[in-house]
Amino acid sequence: MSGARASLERTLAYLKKTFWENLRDWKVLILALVFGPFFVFMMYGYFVAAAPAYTLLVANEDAVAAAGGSRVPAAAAGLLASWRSAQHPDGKPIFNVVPVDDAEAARAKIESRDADLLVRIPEGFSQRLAAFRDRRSGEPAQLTYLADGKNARAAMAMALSDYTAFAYAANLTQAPLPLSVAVQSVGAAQPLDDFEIWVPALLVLALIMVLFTAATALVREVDQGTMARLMLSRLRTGELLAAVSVNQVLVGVVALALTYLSARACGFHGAGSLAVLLVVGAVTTLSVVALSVLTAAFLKSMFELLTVGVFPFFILMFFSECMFPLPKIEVAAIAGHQLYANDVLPTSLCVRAFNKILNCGGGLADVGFEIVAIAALTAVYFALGTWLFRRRHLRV
Amino acid sequence: MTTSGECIALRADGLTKRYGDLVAVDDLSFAVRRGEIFGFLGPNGAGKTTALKMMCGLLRPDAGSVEIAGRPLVAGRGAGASAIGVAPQNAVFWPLLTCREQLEFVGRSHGLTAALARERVAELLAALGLQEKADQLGRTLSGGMQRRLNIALGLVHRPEILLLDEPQAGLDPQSRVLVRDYVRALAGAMTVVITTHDMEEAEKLCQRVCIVDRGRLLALDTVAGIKRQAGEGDRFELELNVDLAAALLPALGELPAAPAVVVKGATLCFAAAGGNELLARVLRVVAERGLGLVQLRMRRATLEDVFIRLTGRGLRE
Repeated sequence: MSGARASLERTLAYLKKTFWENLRDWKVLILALVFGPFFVFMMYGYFVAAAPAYTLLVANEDAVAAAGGSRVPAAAAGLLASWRSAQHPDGKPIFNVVPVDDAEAARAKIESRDADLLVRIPEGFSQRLAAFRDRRSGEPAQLTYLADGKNARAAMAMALSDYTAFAYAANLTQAPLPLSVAVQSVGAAQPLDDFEIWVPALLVLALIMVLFTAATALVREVDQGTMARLMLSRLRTGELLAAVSVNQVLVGVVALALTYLSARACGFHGAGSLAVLLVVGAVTTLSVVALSVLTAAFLKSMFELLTVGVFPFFILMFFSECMFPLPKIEVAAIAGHQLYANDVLPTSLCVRAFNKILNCGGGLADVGFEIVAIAALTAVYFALGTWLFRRRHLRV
Repeated sequence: MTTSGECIALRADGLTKRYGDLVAVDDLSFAVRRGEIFGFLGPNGAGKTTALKMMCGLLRPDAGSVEIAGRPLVAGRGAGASAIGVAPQNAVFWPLLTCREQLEFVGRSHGLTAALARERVAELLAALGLQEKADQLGRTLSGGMQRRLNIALGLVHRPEILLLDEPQAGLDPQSRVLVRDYVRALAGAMTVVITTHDMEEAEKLCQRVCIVDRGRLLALDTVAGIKRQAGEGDRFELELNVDLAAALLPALGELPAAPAVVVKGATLCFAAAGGNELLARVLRVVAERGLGLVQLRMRRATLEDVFIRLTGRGLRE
């Protein structure tokens, strides 16, 4: 038997062994597989399914007093009252109405998403409604909305505000379509809701879970003493790690696919190719396996893995921007691609690649830089992890 | 101590291992002949397991060397891969693999072909009484079965030398007999080194034994040879009908080759070689003095007697 063939056979033998162990350690495996989907449903429930009060900033320029005459209603004040009294079926208020004077400050709140919608009630709004009611004019009164098109809450706030405003004006004027609405957008034009914006990060979260399954495969051998048996066999470190990696990449890709399908079931429409997504996911999973080898080098028992081991997990989770955006610390630029401090974590690059694929329809060429960078980091972490793992667990 | 080089399966020369100030193994030298069952005896903490780890390459000695069939053993991964099989003291197996799966895996990881591994696994499962549990997960086996699986895992690749660390620990009598018979059957075809502090088992199994304590070699020979070396004879215990057996002592002192006597109340204990003649004389003295004999016990010296004499009665770890 040639050396390469013998090596392949030993690797396959270990692959089979680690596969069955992985399957039978069902609690950890199930946790790894459903962690991503669980977060998808949780975020979906949080952002979409809940009934929040939308923050409505109202710049009221309607000067009723100046209009004079008893037949002109204080329409803006009435509209404000309508918004304030609007309720969800469960009795909770739909809007948190906040009158504003400073338009620039209000705009900043929209951009920062501290508020969902800015409504400008123009001067002469009441007079125009009165004229419409009295058939003196066929031109409806106009409201102007300023919103962030990428903010799902803004879309909901606009729809509900429209409904309330039109109902109020129709009742006031006893005429159909007494209002018109102009919409202005802040930020980029592509409209994405919050849930969609979070999906790429949630997909990466599914991959990060592989840190546990991969580290489990290694630490378990140390914990139960079977590493000594492996050391006495002809199995080499590289063969062992190759088998673990192949198995864990499989777990990562399945977890990614399940998470993606869960997101689709919740209404997410990714723009890019699923195949490219899976390619990036597979490379990233390999990098997570490399990090798990590094982690396992420091752990001697499963208890340690479940306690100390959560530390690198949370590092990956928080600093990859899976949970919330981080300030960008520019480190270097390579071939026109900006690298940030947290790009030392391959999952950070993966989040960026997934955003390009899913939100912008990016293809393999568009994420080529990220794939190469993740692969380079994987090589570095594997080299370091293997060296440390050998030193700490395989040295006699 | 040893015979010519070509029939030596394992040779340890000046093995030493220190952990800080503790010398776990202290300049240990011995040789194990090809095909023999060799007992490595010592109390807890004597350094047996440490020595065993150095013998299979899992632990690097601070000094000294190990040779396997004349080849130097270099400590490190796969050092003794094909030549040595190990069954550690604590059963080491994969809880989430079936017996068959893990035995086949170990065979494959040692380079056996799939067919050969399957064949070998079937043999071992039958020989160690695990056929019916072949497809059960390791974690579902009883303690005794796990220990038998532990032994099978050390044998699956047909090693030249099998190192068994306390193989009888935790086994029920039936399993002990099964394992003992199996190990006995291995003799000749395979060299077996057994570490134990079960003297009875060592006497039954081993052709030669060495006794170590505090990392040092105290004796090495056949069981009979060790007993002779230690000058041990037969053991006698006479229980008399008087409270003070010392009444008999002066008479015993007059006997030739007076043995060391221990008096425990009405019981008199002594050990002496050529016991039958001595016993006749003692009984004569008992009769002459009109003392009543309640009970007489006589037994041959055991390895345990030698072991206790060499290593002392003090408790260890």
